Amino acid sequence: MAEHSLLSIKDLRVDLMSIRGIVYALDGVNLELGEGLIHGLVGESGCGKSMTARSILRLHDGKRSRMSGEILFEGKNLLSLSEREMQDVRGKQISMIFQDPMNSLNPLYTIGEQISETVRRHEKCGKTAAKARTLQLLGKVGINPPDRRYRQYPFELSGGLQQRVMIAMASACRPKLLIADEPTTALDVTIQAHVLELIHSLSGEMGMSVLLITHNFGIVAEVCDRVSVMYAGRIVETADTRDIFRHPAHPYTKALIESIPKAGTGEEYLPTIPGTPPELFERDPGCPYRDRCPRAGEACKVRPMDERIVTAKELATEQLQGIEAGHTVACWQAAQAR
Amino acid sequence: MFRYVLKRIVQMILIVLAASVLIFVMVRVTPSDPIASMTKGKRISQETREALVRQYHLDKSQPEQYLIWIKNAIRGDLGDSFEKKQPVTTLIADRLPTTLQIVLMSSILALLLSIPIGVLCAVHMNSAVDRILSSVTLILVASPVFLTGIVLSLIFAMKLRWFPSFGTGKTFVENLRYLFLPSLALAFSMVALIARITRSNMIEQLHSGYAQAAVAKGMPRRTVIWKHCFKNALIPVITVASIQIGTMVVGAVLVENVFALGGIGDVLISSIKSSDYPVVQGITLLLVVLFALINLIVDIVYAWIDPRIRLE
Amino acid sequence: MNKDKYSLFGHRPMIKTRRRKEGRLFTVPMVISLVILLTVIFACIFAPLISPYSPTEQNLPDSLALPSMRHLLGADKVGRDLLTRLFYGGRTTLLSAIGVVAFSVVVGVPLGLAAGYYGGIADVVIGRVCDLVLSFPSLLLAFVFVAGFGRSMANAVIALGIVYLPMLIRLVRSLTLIEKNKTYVEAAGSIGYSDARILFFHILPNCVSSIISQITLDLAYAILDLASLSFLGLGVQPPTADWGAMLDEGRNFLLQNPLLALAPGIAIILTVVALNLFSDGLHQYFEPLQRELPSFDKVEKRAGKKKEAVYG
Repeated sequence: MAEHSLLSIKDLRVDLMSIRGIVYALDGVNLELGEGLIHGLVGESGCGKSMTARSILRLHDGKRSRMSGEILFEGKNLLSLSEREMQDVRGKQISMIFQDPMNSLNPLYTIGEQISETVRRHEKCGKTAAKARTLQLLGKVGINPPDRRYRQYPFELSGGLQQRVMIAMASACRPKLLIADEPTTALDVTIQAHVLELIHSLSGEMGMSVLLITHNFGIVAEVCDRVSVMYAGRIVETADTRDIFRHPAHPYTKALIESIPKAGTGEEYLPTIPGTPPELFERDPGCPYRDRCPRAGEACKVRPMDERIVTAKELATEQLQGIEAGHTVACWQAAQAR
Repeated sequence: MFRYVLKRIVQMILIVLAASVLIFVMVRVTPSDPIASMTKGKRISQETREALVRQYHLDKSQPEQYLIWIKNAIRGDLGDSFEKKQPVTTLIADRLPTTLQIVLMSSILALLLSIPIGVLCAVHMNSAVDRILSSVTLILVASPVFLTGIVLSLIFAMKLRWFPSFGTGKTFVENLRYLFLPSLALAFSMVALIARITRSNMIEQLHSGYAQAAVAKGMPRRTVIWKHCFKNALIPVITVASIQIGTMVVGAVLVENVFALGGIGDVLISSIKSSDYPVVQGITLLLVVLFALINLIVDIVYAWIDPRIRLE
Repeated sequence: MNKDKYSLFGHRPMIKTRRRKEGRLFTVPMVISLVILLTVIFACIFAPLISPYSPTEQNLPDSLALPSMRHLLGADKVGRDLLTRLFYGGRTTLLSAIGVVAFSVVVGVPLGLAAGYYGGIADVVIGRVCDLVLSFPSLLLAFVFVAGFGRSMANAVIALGIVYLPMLIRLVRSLTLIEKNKTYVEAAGSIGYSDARILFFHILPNCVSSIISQITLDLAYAILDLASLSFLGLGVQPPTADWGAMLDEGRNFLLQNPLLALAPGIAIILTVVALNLFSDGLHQYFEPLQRELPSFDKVEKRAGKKKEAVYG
């Protein structure tokens, strides 16, 4: 990749203890996030998108999970920081917004208090300064009039406004990275676009990278610079947004893109992907997608798969022409086809 | 906010009135001869008998008797005791301070012990601390108040002689010592329940979305626990605590009995046994009113904590 | 059949085996509680077979005998064997407690279901009646009930049953409200099942786990509250005795033989602790958030052993 990478996840594994046994939720995730880019993370529910996001901030219940691998943020490994050092990273350098803004705001405090609390925590400033900053932030995310809204409680705001509050809170300390975990899923369709636009413009304005988690390829097409596709706890393909729509290399990515409804094509049926993702109670030595993959062969069953980078040199040959540098795919068949 | 409180007060008055009907009906449900309990079976002349019947309005119909009772009760007159021939209010007035002090002291002790225990257990869920504290409180709740009282008095009053084993002092301050063991016994029986509710609600709040969001924005663990989660967990805890304080009024009856304190509990029980209806009715009504007042205060505290109630 | 279903989609079934659940129902506290409960129940049922003495027959030469081979726990003031009386007292206590809970379940569950399912006027009326009962702090209503209807164990049981009603009704109501809106209820309604069938065969089974854990707890409280009533002389009447009444008798001889008070007390504590543990165990099992899970090492060790067994 050309850009200097802000965040680099290497071979991240997360195991969870559940009432049905150990779940190998993330099984070797590798991800590079460029500075100032909006990076989409796509996949169906339960594939580990949110898990990846939560891992970056180390939000898992320590007793019921364990992590290994590396998460390098500006060169330092977040997994080896102490809890106290981590607290200084959270909200200051990396912040996060969640799917359901209603549940993410404390019902008993005014939104003003909840934002300025964050400012006070990280900027080490007094109450008045924090309040001034908060009012400014509220105006910036389009919550008007700020001074009246400052005194309101979460239940007095609509879902869209609540999510704007979350965004104001998350961008309060000008973090380098914003993790947005399905920020629009719980909102009305009409409001979704506004919220996405807000994230997009803030990212540009503040030079903030965004890791945008979604199950919706439409959103990716709209706002993302790059995108990674996840399946069953692994990242199967990463590419620039334009490339992935033009030349999806992984069979799963292809199937996902084919199953996006298109207006005016006159087709009666939307293609679907048969089967369900595997349950992650055992470490799968093969490709997790092979049970649903039309192109699966012997190779997929036995050998563990590594991320394979299709370099520009390799691309010059045969079928995958047109795929640009920085396109990685984790699939034997795609690699062979080249 | 004002309308909310007003609504609560109206509701409270209605419920107390309904309760007063229930008390009256239940106490008088079985036909018995009140005169017999007044005279303790002694023979009396017909004239005396008729005078007594008139004095206690026993010649009137039941609904009329109820109306007379409740009208006087609102004016602060609860009638006269059958047995002791004294106004019920006088009987109560002498003894109420003791009972109230026990309830007050044990409420404070119970809250001071149980809430920190509950939070500690929630934060260290399933750890050794959690297990030990939970077991101790469990044994305390399983022990009937009077047994705890007896054991405490056996150890600290009879053997060690740190506290008096029975009776009351003359002033509030003196009573802090006299009533300590009874209050402790009573508090112990409440600790487990309040601690348990605190624990389970704290666990729920610690796993909530806003707790996670608070962690994600870099709040220190102490702030997440005490500022964010605790305040939310407090709402159900207050509900249970208020019911528990009501229970303490009854629990006070038991410890008064064990420590021979002569509070209103003693009077209530002995008048139940001797069918002294005006006293039973009067004390019960008083306790119901007290309980309703506690609930009213709790409702106001709710509104104070929770903006969703305050602003709607 | 199953095979066909999968071959339709041309891929292998994903869930091959029913996996064992982590975190067992029969944890250590659960086993302890079951052992205690079974022992107590066994001793109470077979009291006449185990014990050579009569619980009521007086034997003055043995008055206040200390523990010996003849009387394992000693004898009371009129020479009755304490252990024997403990067994028989347990019978009364347990049967009455079960009576209390049975009463509140039989009346409360249908009312709660109706209030939750139908809403409207039924809900309002049931809710108001609950409020009325709850306006009396805990046992006070039972006191008044006993004052009116007379002192006896049967009345104490009914009175406590009424006191326990509102909590159970509210629990069942809130569970019903949650279940009512689920798809399976709609489905059952859409194929024309009667309300009664939906309520008792569809909604109720889904609420049963919470209800059971609640009534186990109620059973524990019933034991304590009945003991309180008997201790105050408002419950069981002589010559029958339950644990509460025995405690009341025994406390007069604390210095001669403390066991007379402590033994029934300990019996109460053990039974109540066991019931609490049982209820907690059920609750934790059904509430995965609070269930204690084994460590990673433990699970992997177990899995490793299994594999070794297969290969070796």
